[in-house]
Amino acid sequence: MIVKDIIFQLSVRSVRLHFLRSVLAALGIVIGVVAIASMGMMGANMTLSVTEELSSMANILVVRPDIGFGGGGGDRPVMAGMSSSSTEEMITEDQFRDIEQIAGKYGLVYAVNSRSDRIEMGDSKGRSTIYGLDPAVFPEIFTLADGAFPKSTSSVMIGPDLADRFGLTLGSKLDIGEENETTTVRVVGILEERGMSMDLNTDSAIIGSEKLFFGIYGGEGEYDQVNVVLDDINDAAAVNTEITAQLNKKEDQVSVQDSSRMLENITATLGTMTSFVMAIAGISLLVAAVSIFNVMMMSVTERIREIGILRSIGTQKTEIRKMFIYEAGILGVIGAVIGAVLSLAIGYVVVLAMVGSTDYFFTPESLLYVPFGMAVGIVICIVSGVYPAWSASNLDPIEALRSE
Amino acid sequence: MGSDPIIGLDEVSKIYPLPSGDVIALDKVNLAIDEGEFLAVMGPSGSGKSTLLNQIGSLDVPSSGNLSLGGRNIRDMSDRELTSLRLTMIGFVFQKFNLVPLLTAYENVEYPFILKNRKGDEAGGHVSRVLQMVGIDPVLATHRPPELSGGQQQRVAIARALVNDPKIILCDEPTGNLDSENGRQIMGILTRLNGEGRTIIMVTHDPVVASHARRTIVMKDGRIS
Repeated sequence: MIVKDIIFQLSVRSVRLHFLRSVLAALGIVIGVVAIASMGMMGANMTLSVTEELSSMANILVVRPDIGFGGGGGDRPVMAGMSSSSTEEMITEDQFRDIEQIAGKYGLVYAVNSRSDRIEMGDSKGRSTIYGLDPAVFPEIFTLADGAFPKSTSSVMIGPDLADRFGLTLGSKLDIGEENETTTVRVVGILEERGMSMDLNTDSAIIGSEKLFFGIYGGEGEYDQVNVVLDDINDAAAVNTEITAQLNKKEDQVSVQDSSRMLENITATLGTMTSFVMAIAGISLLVAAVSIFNVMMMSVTERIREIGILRSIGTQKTEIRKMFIYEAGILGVIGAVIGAVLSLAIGYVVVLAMVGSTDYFFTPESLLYVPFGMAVGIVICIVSGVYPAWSASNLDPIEALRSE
Repeated sequence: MGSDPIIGLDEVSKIYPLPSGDVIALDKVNLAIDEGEFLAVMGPSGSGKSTLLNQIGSLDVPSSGNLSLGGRNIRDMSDRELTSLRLTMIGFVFQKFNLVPLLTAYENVEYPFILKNRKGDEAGGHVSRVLQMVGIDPVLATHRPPELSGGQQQRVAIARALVNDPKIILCDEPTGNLDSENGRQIMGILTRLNGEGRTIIMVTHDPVVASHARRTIVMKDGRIS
């Protein structure tokens, strides 16, 4: 066993003999381990937090008509009064049915129409996006803050920002459209805030039934986009591929936006940032490595005579090397253990300050950086001890014995 | 003795190349030492006594010539083999004692035994016996070298040299750092060890110390005069 090894005992005693110097050398490792582990934990917590936040809306595929440059980018606002988009730029009923057939077994599929139009309530005038959806999907994709889902073609829900902007309440009446062609609707529901999203942006919008929408703008049987809400985010790539393969057989008719890709990109970016920050933190370990190297070289210089004695009484070169590697390893282990304990405390504070939540602090993905930091610290220490150990083992025993 | 010598030097030279010119420390030395001999090596400083001792102790190898220890030519041996030879066949006693300051007296003696046998558990009785043999009691054995007197340190050094039961004991001015009383006691121990059959080669300046040996050679300018 290594602790009973007499060579190891010599290393332990050398560390003890130069306690203060050893502590100062190990302090560098402590700082390095704390820096690496804390930064790693911060990155992991940030990634986990963002992933959790985004994954609830990353399970959505948005299918839009292909317009020749790789898909759309959100709503395609069409000024009220203008004719509906041409057939090439709309999802047809047949295409919608195909998408439904492919993706229906993976989750909810629904068609969306939207227009930006003029709205008026009393003296207040402005513009808003008007969404038309199948009323059957309302309860599945919207959460009401107040009121009920619209059941008639004259009732709508509105987003919370729009309600605030125009002072709308349940029962308020709105006019949609240009002055001579307005359609009056009544607010029956106010939605909870939903935030920006790739599929629907409802916070400042008016949401009604398809019938209401077609009644105002026409274009029945054509849709601006089809949204697929997947039960399992892991199906995103497969469903995307299947829809693209089926609908774009002859020519590109639709483009599919996969929000899970966005999540992947964000996660990858955060991962890169974490690695970068950890690399900067790693510089402190490099400084520590120089300190350990210096201490080990001092140790060799101070112990030249002792090395000569050990060699003269039958200690092999490999055992001399081991003695100094053990010494560097002991400094590394002491530094790494203290660093690990401190990094739990300091990492907690850093995560709380930078991420704003410690919900994920004790997850394996986060805590993994503690042993990682320890391992890096110990390895760096041992590597720093290699050259001093090598030079010690290659000392000429006669010259070493003459040393004072 | 009739049998082959335990140490044989045949035209052994040791040359140290220096920028100012080669230094010939040993110049074609021929010497045969039989098992059980007690040889004193005398001579002025720089005559090559210590170099001869280092060659015999396999701390260094000759530049030319053959040096055999127990029938094996050390010039043919690797560093690993030479180190093993020092561990098993040779015991060193130095003028400055050369104990390891990190270890207690007991551990200093135990160290080569563990290196050789790799069994620390079995060292206890043997190490204690050897220490007792040179007059170090168990309480003293727990002290570190700086806490011991010169005489005590040299006794511990002799115990360390003996612990692996070597055939050859090399002493470099073993009494050089001791007062006359301690010097006399150390020589008593060495004489006793020689009486038990161990080969002892001792470098000394002191004719009184050399008088304990059965044979004395005198070196001058790297040669045996």
